Amino acid sequence: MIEALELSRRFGRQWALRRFSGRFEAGTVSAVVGHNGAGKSTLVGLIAGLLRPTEGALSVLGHDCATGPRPPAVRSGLGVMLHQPYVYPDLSGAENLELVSALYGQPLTSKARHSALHRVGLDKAARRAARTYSRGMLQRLSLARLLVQTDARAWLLDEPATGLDSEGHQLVVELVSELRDSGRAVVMVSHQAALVEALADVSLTLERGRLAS
Amino acid sequence: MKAPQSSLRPVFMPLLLGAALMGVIYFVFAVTPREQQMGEVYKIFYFHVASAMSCLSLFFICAIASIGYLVLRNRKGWGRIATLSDQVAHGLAEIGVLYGAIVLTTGPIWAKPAWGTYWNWEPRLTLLLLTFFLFVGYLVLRAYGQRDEKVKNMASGIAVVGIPAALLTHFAIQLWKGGNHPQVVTGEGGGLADPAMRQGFAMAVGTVALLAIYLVWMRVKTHQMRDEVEMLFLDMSDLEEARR
Amino acid sequence: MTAKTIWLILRKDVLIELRTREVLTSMALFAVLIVVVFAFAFSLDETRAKLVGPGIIWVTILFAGTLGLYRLFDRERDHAAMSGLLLAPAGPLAVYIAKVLGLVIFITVTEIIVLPLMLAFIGVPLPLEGIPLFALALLLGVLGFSLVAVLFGGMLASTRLREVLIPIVVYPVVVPVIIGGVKLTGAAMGDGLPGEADNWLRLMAGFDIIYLALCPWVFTRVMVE
Repeated sequence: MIEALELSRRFGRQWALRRFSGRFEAGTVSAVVGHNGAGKSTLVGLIAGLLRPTEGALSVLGHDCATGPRPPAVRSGLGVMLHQPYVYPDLSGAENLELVSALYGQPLTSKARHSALHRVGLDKAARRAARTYSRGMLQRLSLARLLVQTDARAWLLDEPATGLDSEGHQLVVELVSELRDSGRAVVMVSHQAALVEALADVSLTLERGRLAS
Repeated sequence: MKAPQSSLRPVFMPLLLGAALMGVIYFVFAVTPREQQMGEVYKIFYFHVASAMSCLSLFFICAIASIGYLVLRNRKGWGRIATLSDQVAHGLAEIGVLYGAIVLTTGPIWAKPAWGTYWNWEPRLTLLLLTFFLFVGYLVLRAYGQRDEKVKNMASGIAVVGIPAALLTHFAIQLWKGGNHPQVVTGEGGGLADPAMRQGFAMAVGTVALLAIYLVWMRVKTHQMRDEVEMLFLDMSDLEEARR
Repeated sequence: MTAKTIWLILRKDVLIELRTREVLTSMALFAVLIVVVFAFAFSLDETRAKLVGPGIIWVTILFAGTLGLYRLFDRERDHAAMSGLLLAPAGPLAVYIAKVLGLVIFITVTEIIVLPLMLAFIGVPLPLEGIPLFALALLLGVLGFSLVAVLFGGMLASTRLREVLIPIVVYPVVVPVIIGGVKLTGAAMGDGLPGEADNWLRLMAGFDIIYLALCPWVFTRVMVE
């Protein structure tokens, strides 16, 4: 689903990511682990399309994505959950979820919205402005996207359990397992060992921008 | 990598250009006749207009190079040419701003005896001032953003958008002023009556333009060298990694 | 897809605005303050008002518009929302068009609130028959400004020096629009030569058409690495 070959990205005098090769298959959860500054976020940026590789090849959902604008099929087929939740503080949780879902061409029925928010434990806060949410609640709101963006065949998750309590951890484990069971490819970047332990079928370690052997 | 250059080449061009500049200065001050109304101050006109012509050409070519960069940067196999056009655009903008500063300082010196004021919202001068500001913004962005990919894109965007604006501004100010400004070079104002004046002007334009080309070339080489140094750092980190 | 995304982004911006009233309040307040300051600075009387009035109106549009631009993109900076928008299937073009429409709407609404006040404070008489020309000038001018401002505002929103850089690059580019707007406003107030207005309308329309074609091209190429 996602395949990187010798993928490299430089920032000034440093390789943020160097010769990264890897395949992320359907129905598998691949974890990318590493210390701060190991190149995890760069990898996320490259796969998401926010950064352009300096060298190397990248294919996402069968399309060449190393250079040039991405076709809409890739954009809607690849779900991206960045480290910072994509949330407008002045909209309510429900409105934020509706907006994201509509941006991805999937109008949300009120039933689907309700069940998604219920699932992530935000049904009571759904009508409140997102600026009143705690960090953990914002993360839960982001997780609700996993339930509504059903067109996404591959998911890229950057630290999906940030700010969550142990219950939240359990939620992440359940949601990601469901994605895997429905045949989606999941790339999860995290430095939380417990989460990786519980979820990862494959685990890749980055060290100073390189794959550790 | 490249072979070391012969020690003669770096000296040759500066010497040639220096001699040419001296020649032009001599010709302008000793050979061309004194302008009747303005006297010696008029001599600055040769360098003022010559710099202005170079300056606007530099900005214009910078915009073209920037379009080239934006079009080519994502084409497979064109990466090298895209990088080069970005480096060239950067050099052109730098020297363009330098020339703009020359024009904007010599302008008032000439304008005082010619028009009686230090500043006149004359169409070409105004369009030069505005494009100058735009490219100052361009350089500020470049300076603060280092050589980040995004900064290259943004800078190119600024250069591209500036050119139609310059033309429209020229047009707008002509419309605004009703078109009663001196047309020295095109002959309507009758400034370049004497053949020696025309020769001097042509020499000044040519030399100043050559100097601009040389300076841009030097800047481009500097940018390339900087990029090469960065590449060496990257290679070094590769080597270190291989040794581990 | 693109049209729908434009609508979604625009609706989101308007919805947030209806809820917080941040942008319009600050723009309108700022615009009124500029006019008051100008009124004192020029110790306006009737003859002077006719001379500098159009200029004051357009300077106000320019400054209030810049303020609106900052606010419009501040919203996308919180929580890296801009990345979220750019990653959406419709891509950067939809973001650009939605933000241009948003800025045009915000400036227009501010003008509707502030203009009567401005005309009263400055004391410029705008005859009834001049209103269509004035409205047309406003429309063309605000569109031209927004096309350029949103391009640079969106591009530079993530840079550290945005408050300085955005005016440095936006103002020189929109000078033709400002001159045209001032001249047309003067003409609407019964100033200037007959027939002159047509030339200025052509200039402003030309500006809008050129940048309507150029800015989306640049934006889509610059915003994606």
